[in-house]
Amino acid sequence: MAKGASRNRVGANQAFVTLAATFALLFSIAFALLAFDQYRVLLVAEQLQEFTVPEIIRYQRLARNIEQLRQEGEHVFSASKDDERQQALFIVMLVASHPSILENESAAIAAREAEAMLSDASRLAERDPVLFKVRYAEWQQHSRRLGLLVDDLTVQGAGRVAEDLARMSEVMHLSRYKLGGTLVLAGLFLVLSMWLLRRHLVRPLQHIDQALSSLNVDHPAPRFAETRLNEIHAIEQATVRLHRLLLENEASRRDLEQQATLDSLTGLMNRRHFMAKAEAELRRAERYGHPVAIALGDLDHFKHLNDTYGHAAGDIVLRAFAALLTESVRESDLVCRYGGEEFVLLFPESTTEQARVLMERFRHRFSEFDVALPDGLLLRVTLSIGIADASRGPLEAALQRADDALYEAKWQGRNRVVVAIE
Amino acid sequence: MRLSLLILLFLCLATPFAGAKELEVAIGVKSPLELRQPNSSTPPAGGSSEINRFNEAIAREICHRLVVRCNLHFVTFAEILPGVESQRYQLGFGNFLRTPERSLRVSFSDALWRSSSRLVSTEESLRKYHFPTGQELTLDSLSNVRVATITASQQHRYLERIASQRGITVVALTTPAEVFEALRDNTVDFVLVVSLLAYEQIKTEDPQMRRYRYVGPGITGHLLGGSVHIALPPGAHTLQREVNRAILEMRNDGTYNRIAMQFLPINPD
Repeated sequence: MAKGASRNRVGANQAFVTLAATFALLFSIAFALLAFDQYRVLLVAEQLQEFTVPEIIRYQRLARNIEQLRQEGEHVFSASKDDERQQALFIVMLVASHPSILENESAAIAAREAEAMLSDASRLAERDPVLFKVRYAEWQQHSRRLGLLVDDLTVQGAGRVAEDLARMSEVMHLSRYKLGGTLVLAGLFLVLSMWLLRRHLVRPLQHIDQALSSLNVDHPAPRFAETRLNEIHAIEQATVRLHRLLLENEASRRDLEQQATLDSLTGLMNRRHFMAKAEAELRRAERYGHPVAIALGDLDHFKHLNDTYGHAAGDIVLRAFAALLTESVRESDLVCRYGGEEFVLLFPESTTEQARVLMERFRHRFSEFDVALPDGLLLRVTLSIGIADASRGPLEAALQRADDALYEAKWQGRNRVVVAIE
Repeated sequence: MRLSLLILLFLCLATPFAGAKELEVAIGVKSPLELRQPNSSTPPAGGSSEINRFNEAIAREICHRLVVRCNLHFVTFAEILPGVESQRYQLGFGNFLRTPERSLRVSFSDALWRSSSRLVSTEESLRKYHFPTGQELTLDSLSNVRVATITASQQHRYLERIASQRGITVVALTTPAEVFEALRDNTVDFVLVVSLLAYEQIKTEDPQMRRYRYVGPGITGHLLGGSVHIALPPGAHTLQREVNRAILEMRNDGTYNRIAMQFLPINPD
């Protein structure tokens, strides 16, 4: 399973390059589509500018000229003087000759017929004014026809631009949809990117952060969910290795601490460590006015035992003694190998009498305890103990008093407990 | 203060030299009367035709926009193109249609206005040459007649081309006034000129139109109609660009229309 997961795992660089390449490809396509639409709009705009607008202007000018022709035709009939009528007729003839009118077949025909009709009618104006007036009805038909032509041309001109604008509008609408699609695509891509970043980068980093924050020897090794990125996986593995190193360091530290504070033979506190702990305990007792007692014990005839059975047997006796002593005193009591076959004990919250009772019970128990040597020989060793009150004065003084009491116990015949007289 | 006065004095002295660029402008005349002041930069005392005054106003406006001083020369139509070709004139206003042949000789500006040609005759000639069937007499149906036109014009070139084929006698004269004088004197039967010139001449000579008659419709075929341009010396590309820009600006800001309305009865554009 892990092997399969490892096969599926990719490098962050590769993942981001793939993501960026996908993004670039999609947006290149979207950009190309939009650019194509823009190109089409530009083409239509160019068409509008280069051809349609001039064409519209051409239509406008044509419509303007026909309208002028029509108005001047009206002047031919409405003029009160011959000069004015003739001037209007001149302009009719001039407009009818304008290239813009001649280029448009229907306009050219209408203008030519209107011009001919007005020329004929104008000649009648002097000769037969009544007949001239009668021909106004005929002119009105021409005028209506010219007016309709003006309307048609205006609509045609507008129609030209409407076609281009419709094309442009169609392209712009399409472009708008594409732009909308691109924005949606960009949004989706952004959401997808954020989701991928959160899932494969941010969340794993948060887990690593939490694991590192709570990384200590009291907690189990951190566990991580399967990740897809090599780099994240490497950091997670490094975090697990770091936890393992912490455990190893802690074990080493404890070993060193043990070596620094315990006696290597008996496993009891060594003298230096005892002195430091005892000083602290005495300060605490003095501050609160609580009782504390100290005892100094020495195995009887231990030199003779060494000489008789060898130092190895002595060591066995010392280890057995220490083990029995440790299980016989309270958790709160401090037990220390003071040196050689001498041991010192500190009894917090205890008077000398309470300490004496405890030590007497232990002395009796040890005196009946058989220490088995490797060769099967059983030995019994006795113990002399001196007890002193340590609740007042310095530790050295209390030790000296306990030592004096020990000496007294030795002097009295050994295998006994003596309390120093205060 | 003293320095400012010196700079001001220098600018005042330098200005006439800075604006020393000049253009020689040729404008075609309608009548020989206008030729009494050859190469004059002032219009004739007797006044000139509407189209010429229109051309003059356009020329002055272009010169103003080009920030140059223009010397106006009122010459016959036939003199303008050779004058521009030889670079004696930098701008030629002769109501020139742009033809391939002319384009080989001179450069042209963008279109200034649009022109057509018109055939004009008299009542007498029309009675003489009318079709018995009542068919309308047009330029294409003319034959065995005398036609007057302006020397070196496009109309002249066209008539020369069809003359032998149709038995037409072409009489080329230097000005529109002379052309119509020939018609009036019955030296010719028809005249073929630019519509605007025909209108002006008839309006001046025969305001009641008792003598002259238009024959057939306006003509734009046979290169007798189309856009009218200013002639420029060959290869004068910079001047051509500046003149075109000035024309475009005149159209866009309405100056062109104002000038046209001031001098012409219709907008010739």
